[in-house]
Amino acid sequence: MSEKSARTKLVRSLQGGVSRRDVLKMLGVSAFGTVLASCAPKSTPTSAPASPTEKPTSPPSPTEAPTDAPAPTEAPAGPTGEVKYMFLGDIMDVYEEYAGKFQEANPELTVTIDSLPFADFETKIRTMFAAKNPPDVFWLYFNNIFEFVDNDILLPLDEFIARDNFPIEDFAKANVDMFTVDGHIYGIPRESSTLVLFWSEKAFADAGIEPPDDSWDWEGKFLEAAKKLTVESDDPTQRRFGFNAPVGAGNNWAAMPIVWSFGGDIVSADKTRATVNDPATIQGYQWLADLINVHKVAPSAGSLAGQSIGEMFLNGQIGMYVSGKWDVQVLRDTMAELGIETAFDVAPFPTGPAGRMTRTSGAAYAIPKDAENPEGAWELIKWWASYDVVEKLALTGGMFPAYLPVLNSDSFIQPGQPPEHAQVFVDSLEFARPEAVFGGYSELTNLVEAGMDPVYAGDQTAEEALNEVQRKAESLFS
Amino acid sequence: MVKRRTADERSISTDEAASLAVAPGESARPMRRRRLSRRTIRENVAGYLFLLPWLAGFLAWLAIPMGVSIYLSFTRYNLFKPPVWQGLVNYRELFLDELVLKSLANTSYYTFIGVPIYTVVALGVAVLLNQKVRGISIFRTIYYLPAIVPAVAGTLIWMWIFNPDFGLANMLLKGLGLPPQRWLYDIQQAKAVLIFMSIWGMGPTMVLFLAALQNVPKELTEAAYIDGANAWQRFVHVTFPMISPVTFLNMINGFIASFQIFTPAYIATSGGPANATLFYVLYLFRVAIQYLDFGFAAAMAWLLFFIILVLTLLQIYLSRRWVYYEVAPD
Repeated sequence: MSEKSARTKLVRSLQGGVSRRDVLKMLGVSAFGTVLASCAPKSTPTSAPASPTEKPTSPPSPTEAPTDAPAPTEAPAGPTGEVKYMFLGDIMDVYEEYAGKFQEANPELTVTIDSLPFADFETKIRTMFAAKNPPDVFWLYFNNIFEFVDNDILLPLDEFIARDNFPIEDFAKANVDMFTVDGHIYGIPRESSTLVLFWSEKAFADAGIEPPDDSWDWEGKFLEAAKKLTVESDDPTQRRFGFNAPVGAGNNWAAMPIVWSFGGDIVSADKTRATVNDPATIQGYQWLADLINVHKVAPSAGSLAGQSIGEMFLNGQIGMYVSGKWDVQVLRDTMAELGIETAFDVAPFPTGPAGRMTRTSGAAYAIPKDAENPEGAWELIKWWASYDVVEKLALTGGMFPAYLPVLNSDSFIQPGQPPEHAQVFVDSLEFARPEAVFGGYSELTNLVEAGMDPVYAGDQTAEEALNEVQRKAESLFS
Repeated sequence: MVKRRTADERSISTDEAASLAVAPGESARPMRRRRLSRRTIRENVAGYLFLLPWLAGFLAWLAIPMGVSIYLSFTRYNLFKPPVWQGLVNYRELFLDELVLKSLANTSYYTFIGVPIYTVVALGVAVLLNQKVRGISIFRTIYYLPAIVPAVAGTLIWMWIFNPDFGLANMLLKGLGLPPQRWLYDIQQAKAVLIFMSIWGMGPTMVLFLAALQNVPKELTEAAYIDGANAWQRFVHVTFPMISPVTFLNMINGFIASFQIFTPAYIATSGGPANATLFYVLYLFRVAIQYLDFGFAAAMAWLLFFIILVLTLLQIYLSRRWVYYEVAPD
């Protein structure tokens, strides 16, 4: 009997039987496990973009507008609550400092700052809009203005401007126009830019040639200087390229002004058709490719990938390249880091057959239509656009404000620090124009870049390649 | 009472346990319907509770997003406005888009050439590492090590090595008196270079082969040796069939993973030059994130799913010819 009952017990326990305690234990494990499961890594290939493909990177240098810093919080007397600011994260400390000051002045508002690098920012901001949870103030890049306005997600700022007598005329007109659609202003310009010619004082001194001036033209004096600067050598440290041409993936935006100065463009002025295979466009791109393959003054596309272009430039291994004010701070930092004495300087873009052109771009502070605190957002924007804050931003060296009082002051020009001719940045605004952005511009640019790869490699003529690109581009306008 | 004794006196076999848990209405054998015992219900509940963590994760991160993705593939969606139903437009456009076809061609090249090479190399290295040599564990570690280097870091290292101006690869060629190559910047060579780069991560595949090789019964190889087979014949007729299940596994995994190649192309070449390395998932990413055409991207994703599914089913079907399982199928 006892044997049987013992066996019964054994079998019963083997069959299992779930006591209340066991159920409670399992619930606990389940809850914990669910939390763990949510942290499990995805099996899909994840990308960790080192640099966004779309991000405007100057051929040698780091990306434009580094990530934004956290937004300071501001609390004006009227509006209350939280103001969320999202931007790229550059010059974070200035924003933090002035956030604090703003908080002191306006204890009723709190500001939360969020920032991400460019490519992540572009994706994140759109997801936030899609989730109907946008920030109150954000950094709006001019490329996106039509996309955002078409989707009706921006708040027009005209009423705010009129109500508070905001001095919109103190901002560069070109930049205000960038953010004006159908007569409504959708952003207060934060920054502008111009592309200029950076030249290495060391390289020019070594080659014994005169620095660039505004008598230069691309096909004549520029090419001559580039040739004199170029030194071939088997030893990479002795080699020098006269010019780091803006070619390769992600660099078409920097090549555009050169193409413009030949009279070409990739899209018509009214944005109704692609003009990729217009004779002037072909001529411009062919000239660029010839720098690499015929005159051999420029390195082939991507062959300097992974190098520090800034270092090479400062060491005199690159004579000239195309970039903007954002690079100034980086170059200064590199000089300090490496103890380089001889500096760099800038010169205006040389003239082309169709004249002198360069490219401008811009970004602004904008308010989403779905923002929770538009009043607070507006107060924050006024603070960000005020003289003190803009001056502090400009003093860091890499910021090109669209606010004219600061732009025209020494805070921007910064005499005594390289580049000596910083006034060139401001003067270049006179002949600068933005790219003709439209819905399919990104795709068009990708088509052109991919199509030009064999041309820059010397395997095809620009005419053949761009005819093919034109054919593919038709579908973007249908 | 009768049931109890039955349950006590006989040991429970799987079949009987299954029939005990039989749902009302069904029966494994002709029995009258009976309610599930409370114990059975408790056991079922316990089972489901154990499943719950995985189930919750599966629903939230796989099943529901997959469902949304199918829905989106029939719409036009740019994140700002709500999705607009379009029917089969996206799927039709899939076959008209030049870049979809080009990226499929690129990916197919990478997969059908890369995976066999990769598998053969992994097998070869596993055979080498299957020897009783002193310090063999050091060698095994060395060959596995590249697999734990993060993909982005590894890609950057390879970009440096294959740099046309400063890279080790061209320096090596110069030392041998050969002309320098453009490697990743050459339209013909770029994909081949990427395949070469992928091989260094063969660690896990090699380890699986190694385990399989070590499980080949010595008696079989010895018997073959006694019968006069040389090393190659032993490998082909004894070793390879014995490890064929793992070979099959590695090939399927290899095909599935290779068809989704993304990181090296994104980092090293951005799909260039001239879209030579524009792989399918890279293009999908571009369509979604850059062009904000999520509907089309979703359609691309489902096309990829079906392609990989068909490929895998095909491999499974073909496996009957050459994969040898020791265990007789039930």
